[in-house]
Amino acid sequence: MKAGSMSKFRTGIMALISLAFILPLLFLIGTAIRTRQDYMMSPGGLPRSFTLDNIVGAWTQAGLGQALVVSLIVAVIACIVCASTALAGAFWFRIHQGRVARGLNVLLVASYAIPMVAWLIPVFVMLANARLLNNIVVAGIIAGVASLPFAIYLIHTFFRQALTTELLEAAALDGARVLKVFWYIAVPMSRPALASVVALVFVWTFGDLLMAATLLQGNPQVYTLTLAATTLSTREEVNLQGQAAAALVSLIPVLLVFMVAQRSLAAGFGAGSGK
Amino acid sequence: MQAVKRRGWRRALDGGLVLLVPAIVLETLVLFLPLVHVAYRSLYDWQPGSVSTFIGFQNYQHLLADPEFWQVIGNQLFYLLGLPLWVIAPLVVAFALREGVWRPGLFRSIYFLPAVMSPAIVGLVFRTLLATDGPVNAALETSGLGFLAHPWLTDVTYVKPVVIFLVLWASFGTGVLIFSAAFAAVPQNIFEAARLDGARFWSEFWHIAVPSVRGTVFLWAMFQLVCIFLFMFGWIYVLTGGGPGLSSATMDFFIYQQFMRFGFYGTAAAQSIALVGAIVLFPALGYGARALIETCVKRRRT
Repeated sequence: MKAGSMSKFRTGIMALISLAFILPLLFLIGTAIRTRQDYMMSPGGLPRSFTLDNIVGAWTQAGLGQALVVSLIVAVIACIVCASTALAGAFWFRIHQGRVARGLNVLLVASYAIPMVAWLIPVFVMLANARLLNNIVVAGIIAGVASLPFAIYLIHTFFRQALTTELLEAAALDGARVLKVFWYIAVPMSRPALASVVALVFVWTFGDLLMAATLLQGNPQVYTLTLAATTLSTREEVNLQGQAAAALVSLIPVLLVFMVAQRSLAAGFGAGSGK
Repeated sequence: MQAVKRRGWRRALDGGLVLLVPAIVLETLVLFLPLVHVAYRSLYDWQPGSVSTFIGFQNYQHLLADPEFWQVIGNQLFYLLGLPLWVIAPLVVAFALREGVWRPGLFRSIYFLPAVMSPAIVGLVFRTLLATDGPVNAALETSGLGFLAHPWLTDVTYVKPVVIFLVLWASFGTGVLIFSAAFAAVPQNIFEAARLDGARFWSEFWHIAVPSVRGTVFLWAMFQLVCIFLFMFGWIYVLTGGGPGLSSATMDFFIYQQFMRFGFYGTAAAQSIALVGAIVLFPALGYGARALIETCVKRRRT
């Protein structure tokens, strides 16, 4: 009896809290699809008009379509670079546990705490010298390396549980060598961890502003979606509705990833707690 | 026997260094060497593309004499006041979600939404929402709460607390997720025993729940501590541009401005090293505080 009444109260509070996360999104959608006059009349009120002009306008004016393609290319390159190197490295750390290996492991994971803005300065200078700024492939590789420390940690945690000693013993008794064990046992079994890494790296790279605003800011042709949307917001002639439309467009891909890969994302963040 | 066997698979599976090489090479090129380079160049009047002259510790001396630098450090310390909020709010909610809530998984998903969204894009939304003539103030006016309307982002007194609450908004769902996992790993019978003793929600929370997940609580606090130094750029750049003045600037935003906007590479390098120092210092203080508290608690018990 008592549990029932309790549950309504608690559920009510949880629902109230969730408004803090839903209302900003609804406001964004509402602003993007209403006319300017309507918004000026009551910015806090409900939309009384409907138009797709803002979204279409942002798409064509700000070149959001091209920015979306750039963002996807950068994010996919980052995912490939990060997932493949982290997978191989984490596997090596699973089968080598000497003092040197452990030291290296700590070093490669602790580099997570090296501030991005610190290593970006020389990377920016060197890429400028090599004329490799505003290059989406280079930006993608660097974005992948930026997530590498976390990815190594995550996959290594997974291998420590899933790739058991018994499994390794059995493989060794069968006469398998390192690369064979990696390719035929570790890689196939690592799918859940890889899914987490790919989902996280995609989301992080897609949403990044600091790297894009440093490595790709010289040429509007290679602006990522995040960079294009934020740059758009500083241009005077673009109104609020255009900004909202740009923001909405740049959230749709990650919201899709969120819906498809929610479980993997949650597992990845859970591993980040250091349990 | 077991030991022999173990050594057996270790020897059989030795080598394979080729698997580790890409990770080492990439991290060295992109993370480690640039960090070393920044430390080295912080001793120079660094002029990329022209002649840089060695000036010893002058960049650091300028830094220590620069009121703007100290203002940014002060901002960072102010933001750290949010730490109890960032830890306790998701902890309480994760505890409350354990039972007696309809579809807790749905709520966890909703709270988790900000984790996937770009801080810069979300910052764009909040900048509009919190503008002086924006919807939040308009809604306050129309509902007769006009005295609560403030210039949230352009007033020195409000901007930093607003940022603290936005960080809570962004990290809350991840915290709930992590604490929920930690609570799920606690043996449930200790909660049942407490309830038989008549413990109410808050006493159960403080005396049973928090101590049983204190390791996770500490790690989450350290993670948030590092995040407020490392990952604030997107928020600040879009939300306030560091302003008004520099009153909401974080270290990473400040450094970015120095080298990308003003071209002061040497200063930016020295500031980066100061930032690295902060990232080492504050978690170290955290670990020290924990060790101190634990010895005190032990001493009181004995």
